[in-house]
Amino acid sequence: MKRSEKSLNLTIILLVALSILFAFMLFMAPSVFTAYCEADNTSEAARKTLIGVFYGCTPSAILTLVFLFKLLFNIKKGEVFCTQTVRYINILSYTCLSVVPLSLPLCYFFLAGFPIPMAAGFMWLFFRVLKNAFERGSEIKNENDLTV
Amino acid sequence: MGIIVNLDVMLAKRKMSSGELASRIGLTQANLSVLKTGKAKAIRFSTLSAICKELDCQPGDILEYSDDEVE
Repeated sequence: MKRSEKSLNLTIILLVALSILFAFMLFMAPSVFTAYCEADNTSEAARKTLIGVFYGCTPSAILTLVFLFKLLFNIKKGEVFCTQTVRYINILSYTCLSVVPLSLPLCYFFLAGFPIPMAAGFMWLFFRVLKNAFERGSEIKNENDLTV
Repeated sequence: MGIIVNLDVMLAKRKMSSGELASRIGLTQANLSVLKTGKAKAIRFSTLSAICKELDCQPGDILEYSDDEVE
């Protein structure tokens, strides 16, 4: 098996593991956050905000996981530099962007929560740059495919 | 308009099919069809040279420039 194939399979395995962890958190979030807040002596409002932000970001998280899987399986099929890949990466950038306003309420109660919207914003920009690169790659591939 | 490929004309003059030309120059019929139908974005010199050699012609016999901009 080629090195790139091994790497791709590893990425898929990691994504499956992350999906399982996310599914676990989907059901266990209230208990986990309650235990955390009780241990930390944080207010009821903070606890509710934490749970609210988590479930508010859930649709974005699900979309991110779905489109990461679609992207990886496309790459596995050899469809890398194509319009569909560019579209998937664009969607991933917007799922990251959507987390920024949704996670801002965390900063009011938890100063340590500030990196979350910052990281989401950076990831949005990262995916945008990646989208631009893949767009150009798709154009170059198209030109190469039509070079006789 | 740009570059027009007159490969069909030369093939007819030399009484050769596109399939035969494709196999002689080591190109797939699909790729040759891309060239014939004007969908190609670029042609390698090696391909052009092989086509001219098989069809016994000059590049100008196959490629023509046309500027049909409407004013």
